[in-house]
Amino acid sequence: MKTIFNTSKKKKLLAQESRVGMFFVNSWLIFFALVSLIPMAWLLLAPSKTDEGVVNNAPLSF
Amino acid sequence: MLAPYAFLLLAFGLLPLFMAVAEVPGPSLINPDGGWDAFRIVVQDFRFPIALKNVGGFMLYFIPMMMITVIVMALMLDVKTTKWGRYLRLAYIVPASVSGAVAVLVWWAIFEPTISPIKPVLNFFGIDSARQIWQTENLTYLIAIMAFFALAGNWILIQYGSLQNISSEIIEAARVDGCSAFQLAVKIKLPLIQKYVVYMAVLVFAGGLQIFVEPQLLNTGVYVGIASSWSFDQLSYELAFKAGDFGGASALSIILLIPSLIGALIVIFKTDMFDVKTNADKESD
Repeated sequence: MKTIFNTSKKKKLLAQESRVGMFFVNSWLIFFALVSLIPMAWLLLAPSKTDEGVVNNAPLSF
Repeated sequence: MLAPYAFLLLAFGLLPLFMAVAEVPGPSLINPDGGWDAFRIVVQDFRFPIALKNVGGFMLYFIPMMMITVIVMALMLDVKTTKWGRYLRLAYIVPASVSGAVAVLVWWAIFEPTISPIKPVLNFFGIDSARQIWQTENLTYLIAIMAFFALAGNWILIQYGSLQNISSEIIEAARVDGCSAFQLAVKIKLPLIQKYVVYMAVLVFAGGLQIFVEPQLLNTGVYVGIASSWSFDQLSYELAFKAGDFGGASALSIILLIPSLIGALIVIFKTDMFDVKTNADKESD
């Protein structure tokens, strides 16, 4: 019984990343990646459009 | 062994500094008698306090935004290495890989409600006209955002790289002792990369003090006159190439050098960033 208790305690000690914590970390990393990539996607797509298209079409269309 | 470093120090450090010092006492339209009064004249220039206010305000946003975001992002990236990690790191470095002029174009488009890819977000905040954004008083944080995205990606990867230098034995020992991911980041990893953080702080400070491309391009290419003499470097540029006052421009450049030099000396003498340890030193440690 004592051994089982010790093992579960050790497992708890070794549990490093909580699911909620990792969700926030991953969400923030993905959000920052999107914030970094959207302007670059616009830059890549804008030359494929006419002047009128740049103003009237959807910003990330081509 | 030291020759390449000595050459670089001479060619890009000492020689320009010597030329700037030699240029200061030269006569000009603003300082017809020449002499070292150039320092006093440039500090008393009516544009100097305006540039000081602008650059000070810009650095107040830019430096904390840069330091906090970069460190937090690097620590987050280091929490868990997944197969997506490399793609995320690639995504972060993309905005940093475009040149300053292109970055100005991109961020102008982002904050231009008629063509912006974040048009719905801008509309949500009641912004539907460029005039609501592109005002001289808003430039402080607009330029801070531009400069942030131009530099953050590089620094995130550099700090992530510095985290990879931490011994896996230390991390493992901390884990066995029951460190949570947060404790591991704040109490173990952060102190171990402290010298890289100080190094980054000094370079970010020096870079912020010398902000030039963003306000200059906005002023000359996007909205003419919106950021005239906005920063110290712009003032120095205008003194030299519009007023022909090379002495004043040199004096201002030397004034700008002082805080950056102090920062560099702090990194060299107050951190072990540039300590060269021989094998004998390492063994004695």
